[in-house]
Amino acid sequence: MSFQAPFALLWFLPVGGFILALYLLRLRRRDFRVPASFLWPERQDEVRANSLFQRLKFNWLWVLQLLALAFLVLGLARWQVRQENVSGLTTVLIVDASASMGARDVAPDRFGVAVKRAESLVAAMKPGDRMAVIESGASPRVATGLSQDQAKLRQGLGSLRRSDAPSDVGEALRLAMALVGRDGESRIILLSDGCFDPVGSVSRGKSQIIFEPFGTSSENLGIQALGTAETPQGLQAYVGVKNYGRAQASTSITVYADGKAVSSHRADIAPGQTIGKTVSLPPGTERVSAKLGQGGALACDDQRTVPGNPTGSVKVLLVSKGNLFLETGLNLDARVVLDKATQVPASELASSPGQGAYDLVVFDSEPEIAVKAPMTVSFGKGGGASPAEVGGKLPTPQVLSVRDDGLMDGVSFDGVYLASVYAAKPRAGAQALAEAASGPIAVFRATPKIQAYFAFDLLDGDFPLSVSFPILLGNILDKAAGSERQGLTAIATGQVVGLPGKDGESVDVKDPTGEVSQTTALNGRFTFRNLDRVGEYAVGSGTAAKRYLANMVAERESDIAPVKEFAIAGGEPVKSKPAEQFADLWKPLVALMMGVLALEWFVFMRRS
Amino acid sequence: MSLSAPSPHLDTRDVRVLERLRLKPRKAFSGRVRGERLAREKGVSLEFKDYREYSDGDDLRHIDWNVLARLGTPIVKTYQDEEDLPVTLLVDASESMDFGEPNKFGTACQLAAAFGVVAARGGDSVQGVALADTPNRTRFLRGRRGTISLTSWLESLRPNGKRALAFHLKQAARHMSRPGLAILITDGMDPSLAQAFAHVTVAGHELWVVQVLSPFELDPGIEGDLRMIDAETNQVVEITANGPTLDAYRRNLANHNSAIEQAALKHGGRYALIESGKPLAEVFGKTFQKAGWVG
Repeated sequence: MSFQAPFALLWFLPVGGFILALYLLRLRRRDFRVPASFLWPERQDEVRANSLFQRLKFNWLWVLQLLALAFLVLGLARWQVRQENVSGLTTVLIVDASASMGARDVAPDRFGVAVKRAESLVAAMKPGDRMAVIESGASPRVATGLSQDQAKLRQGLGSLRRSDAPSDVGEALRLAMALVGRDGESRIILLSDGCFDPVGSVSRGKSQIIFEPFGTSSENLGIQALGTAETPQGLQAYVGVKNYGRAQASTSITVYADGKAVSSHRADIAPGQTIGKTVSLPPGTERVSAKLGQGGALACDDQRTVPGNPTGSVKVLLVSKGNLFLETGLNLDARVVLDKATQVPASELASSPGQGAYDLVVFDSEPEIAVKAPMTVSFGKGGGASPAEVGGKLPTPQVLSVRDDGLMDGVSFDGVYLASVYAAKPRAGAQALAEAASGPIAVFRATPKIQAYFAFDLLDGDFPLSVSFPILLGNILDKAAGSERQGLTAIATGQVVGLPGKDGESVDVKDPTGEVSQTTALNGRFTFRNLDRVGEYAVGSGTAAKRYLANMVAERESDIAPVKEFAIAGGEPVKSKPAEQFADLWKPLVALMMGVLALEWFVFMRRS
Repeated sequence: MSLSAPSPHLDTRDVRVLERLRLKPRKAFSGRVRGERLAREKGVSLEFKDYREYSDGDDLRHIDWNVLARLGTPIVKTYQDEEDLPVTLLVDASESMDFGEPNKFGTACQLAAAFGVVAARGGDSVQGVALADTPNRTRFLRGRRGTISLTSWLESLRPNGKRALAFHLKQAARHMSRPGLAILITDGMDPSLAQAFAHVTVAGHELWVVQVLSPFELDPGIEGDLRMIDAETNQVVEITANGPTLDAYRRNLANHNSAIEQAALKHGGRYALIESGKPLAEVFGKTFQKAGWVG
């Protein structure tokens, strides 16, 4: 509650005093001669005064007049109150549809409550309001563009679907900014539990960002890791379970080999702690699953399935001075256990004794040197161990061809800007996978170890922003994991997966619920963007089907503790508050004043 | 008395109506002069009362010969003696009567004159008594000349009573020696009036109360903040004349009038409320005749 013109309240004192002064005036009564006075009751309801002075007597008339004055003065002071609805504004509703919104600490779940809240905001729209709805799932989606049509907006809300993937709220905010454009006064209402990665810089413009958080509990257990390894004791699975909550929790951990339970343990886990269990698996296990008995409020991290092939999990060493794209891209893959270093540790050098700890070493703009890892990938500078001889830099190349083989499946350089490339020449046993006018830009060698070389720095162009980048990383990891031949790949929910295909050709995609949809190849590849629910996806049919085991691996989503504010890079943190607005109450106040005056007139007439 | 006060002089049309009427008291009274009234004692008169066996000394003219012929027993007719009725007109001349439009006192005088005409034409004797601070009364009057005297006396009256009406009524009752019909014409504006009726009836009078109120008193059309000054006592009541106040006044008036009526009936009398200015022909022809006061 506030006043736009608080000094107008001071009018109450002189005007109210004047009204009371009128009632302090004594009444001068008219003499009236009557035959007998005993019949007349002594009733004095003074409604007029014309002489000084008398003690103030209670009278409903002056009470009502002061009340009417109070309403008038409040109206003049522009009394305002916070109101839930949004009027005359452009509003973008962002509904967080990430995995953590599936937490059932509120009924039916956080996502359901957020959608209901969005529906109530749509229902509270007033004429002239415009609203849009954005689903912030694995990738932001505009469910309904700016519209004044409530039915259309409700339809858009009905189309919202929660995913088991993390969401990029920053991207959703940027999309919302793009929608409101240059609209003067606009607001973006984020309906979320706040369980998302830090938001990068967002240009707010004149828009106001309102954050309405949902969720009450932080108690959750989740499978943090599941991997297999060939050990002297045979094939074994490792399960890591973390307690993300604030209280001690107990759960059962059951491991399945191709659907058959092979182990079940009960575990007590302290808050913030992770416990690990190693379980022996039957030889030839194709799929290994782990499930939690009591996993807390969030269900999608209570199970995980990976290929039984030990190489299904990939230990990756990224040698780089810093590359967010590579780090993020590699971490998104469920199979990856990533370590970062600015140079190769001595223990991993080929010249050092013993076995290496990594399945894959990625050299990011660092010279490739001989390492123990069975596979290397390098970008930019070649190095002595590189499969290509690398020369100086050449200007913007024109990419002529890309070979469709395992590594470059679905990868295209069409529309990709590369500021420069290195002059590269395949060494013995190596072959070019992609050619530009200036020479090879991708070189591959399979023996003695698997090596791939890309003749450009990732940050020297916009390749990391293209859809081909995650596809290339997926292909590299497939190669490193050795699972591509099995047709069984573990992926993170929301991960974009690409497969080569002829333009116009369609394949069936069967999701974990058994629902089948179709995807058509474009620009020589199928791109699957909606693999965002935990479970097994089958692409194609029969024995040729490629299967993806989608797991929710984002720890930020498993940590479901609701947050009340989030930071935006380069800006003020956004604190939680309900989507309200100040409503000017002068109209109802004037109506009240008129009502009181009417009542006062009625009382006066009754007494007159 | 206000200019619009009705004159005690009656017009010819009213007199013609009144001359056909006779006062009809509930009980019989013995008078001094043979008139047209039935006396309380049985005797020789024109009005047949009963039969009785003949006894020595009875007037033979009163033997019913037809009965004697049939029964063989001499039976004598007895007759109600007829005498005049003493009628006392008690006219309230207090200050409160000088009020209203038409004026209550004028109406009271007119009613008194009308009762005088009815009584005189019926052979009754009439006495006028003014209930005022200055004692004023007539002797018992009879006949047409008596009505003229009564009218003149009424015309000479002026409202001047400052004292309570009950007091004047008690005083008047002391001087009413001949039991008869006492007709009190008043506005009744005295809260203790009803208690004073006993002083009149205890002496054997039949009391008729005619309460005269002005249209204003019956339904006061006033508003605003007023000081109500009592015409007799000069007592002041401050009021705000609005709906609730007027409602309360009407209730008080109705209760007061009812108390007067109940007291009158309790003492074997009669009561009528007359609005000042009502035509005499209507008052006598409808109100009084219908209630059996005159016939």
